[in-house]
Amino acid sequence: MKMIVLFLATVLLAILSPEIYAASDQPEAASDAAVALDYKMDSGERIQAIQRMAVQKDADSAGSLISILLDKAEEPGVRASAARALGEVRESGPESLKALSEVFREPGAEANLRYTILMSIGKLKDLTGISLLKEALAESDPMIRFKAVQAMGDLGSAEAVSIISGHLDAEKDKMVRAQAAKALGSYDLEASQLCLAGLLKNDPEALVRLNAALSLNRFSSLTAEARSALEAAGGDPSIMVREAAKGEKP
Amino acid sequence: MRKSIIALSIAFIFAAAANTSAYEKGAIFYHSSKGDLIYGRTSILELPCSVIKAVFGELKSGHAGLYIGEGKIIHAIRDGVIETTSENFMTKEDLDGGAKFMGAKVPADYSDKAKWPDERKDQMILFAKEQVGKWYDLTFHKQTGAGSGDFTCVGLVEYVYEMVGYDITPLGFYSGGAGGKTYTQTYNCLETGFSDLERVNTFAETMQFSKFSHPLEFFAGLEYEGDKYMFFPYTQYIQATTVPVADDPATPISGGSGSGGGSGCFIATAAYGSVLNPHVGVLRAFRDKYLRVTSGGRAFMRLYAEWSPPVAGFIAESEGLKAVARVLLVPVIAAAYLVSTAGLWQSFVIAGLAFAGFAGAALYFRRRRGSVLQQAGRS
Repeated sequence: MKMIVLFLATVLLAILSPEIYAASDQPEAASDAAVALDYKMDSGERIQAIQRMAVQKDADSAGSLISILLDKAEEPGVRASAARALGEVRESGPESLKALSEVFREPGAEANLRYTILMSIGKLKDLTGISLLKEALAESDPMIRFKAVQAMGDLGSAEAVSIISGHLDAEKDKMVRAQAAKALGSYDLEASQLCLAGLLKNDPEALVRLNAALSLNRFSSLTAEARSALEAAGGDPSIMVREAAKGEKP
Repeated sequence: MRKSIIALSIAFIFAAAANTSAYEKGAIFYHSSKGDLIYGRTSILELPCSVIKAVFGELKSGHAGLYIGEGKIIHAIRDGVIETTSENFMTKEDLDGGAKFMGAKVPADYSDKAKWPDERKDQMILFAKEQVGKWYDLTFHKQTGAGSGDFTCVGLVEYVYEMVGYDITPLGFYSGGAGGKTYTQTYNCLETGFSDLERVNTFAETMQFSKFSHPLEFFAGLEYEGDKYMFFPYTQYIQATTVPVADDPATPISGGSGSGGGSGCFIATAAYGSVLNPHVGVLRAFRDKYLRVTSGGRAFMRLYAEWSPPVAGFIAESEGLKAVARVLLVPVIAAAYLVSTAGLWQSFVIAGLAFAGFAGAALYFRRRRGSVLQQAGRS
């Protein structure tokens, strides 16, 4: 009898063992990096995994993000997500900036991927990124120049003030000039106040004067030139500029 | 003389019509999920676990975007906030799925220059441009998700309008004004990984939510009196403070790719002049279905991305080269179309049968010609 029970138990074990084995060998939930790198997965799921990596801000994830960004076979949206995430993983070191710069200069790189890269360079706060932003100001696409100026405002490099000031005379696009006025407002320096005062007094576009006035009113103390420009703006033809010059929310 | 006057009048009428039908910058584009339906409004929904699949896959919601002038829009899609041509507002998949363009809308007083001077509209566009490159809000938490400044499509439109002092949603919708009630919205979906993210939103009591059912216990949604409700209805409220403007039917409903215009099919885009050309669409579909998901296909794509942009640049500059490229692309597009529609193995079988047919016919005619010549030689 014992032999029969033993035999049956052995048979039962043999039958069940593949399931037991399989159950014990269940792979753990794939890590975000593994999901992000798995090109056979749905792009949406991959972008979601990349977004979680950005939220975690883990410097170790930079390698995976860089490899996604550099891969020309990836969808532009997935690459842009990797670029965006790199901007948020600030401790990732100079390799991130190098990869972002390389893809920005890639022939045929998709426009929104390039816009995202510029934004990420601003967020990275790696001051050596200013050279790429300066290079971008020479491009014909006004949105590239817009994002470059916006990134200069985020970067925190005083050199941005002289670059923006030097670029403004040649800039024909009012959106880029207005964004330049906003970016200058991030630098509480005499040079930026001087440039903003000039824009407030002389720019033909109300949008630019409006943003110059808003930026000047962000500073804690003003130069005589800036004060004079704000006073003069009390007679501006645009009511929004007049209100902004008074420090009111237009 | 009389004919000239009539012709001039007709030209003037057409010019005026063209002028009035152009969208104004700041206009909100809006499309349904299917027909007149905006999901989350009327029916009980069966949802997949993944938020991504819910929004971009099995369940399509409505969509909104901001027209920024010069044929361009800024909208928040899965890839993030992007600037693109207005043809890309609705994707081919949207159109194939029965989505309907609901028209462009602006605030009721938008034509009042005293309330909406040009600089106010421009400032709104500037705020929208600043957001380009940011994340899509996958948690659907009001306007910004997880505190990181990301957007849903409607959230983006609301944000830019609010930044210039215009509240596009009805009074009390978020503020908890008259009849407002606070709902707890819990995101705890294992598959999405957005677990234990609890957000509190306040909506007007009168707002209509749609119940949904889901195979898993945990899912993003609004819990109220034991039932769960979906967040999508919020798309419909964008209309509450806006009025329709004249449509320009050529622009937003051409069924673009949805993304930023770069197809990656550089040579075909140069040859056909637009990423929206259906021939380019065939190649794009083939690439996404067969090349992007295999290591060999991806190796080819990397190689192609390396050498094709300069070649495409050459082609784009010459009408003659474009014509030559279009002729050379015919068999490639035909093969891609065959494989995409019939499947890979079926295509091999069809191509094999076609080849065997041609070869058989050639052999038959060759033999027949030989026997005719032989008979002629004998006679």
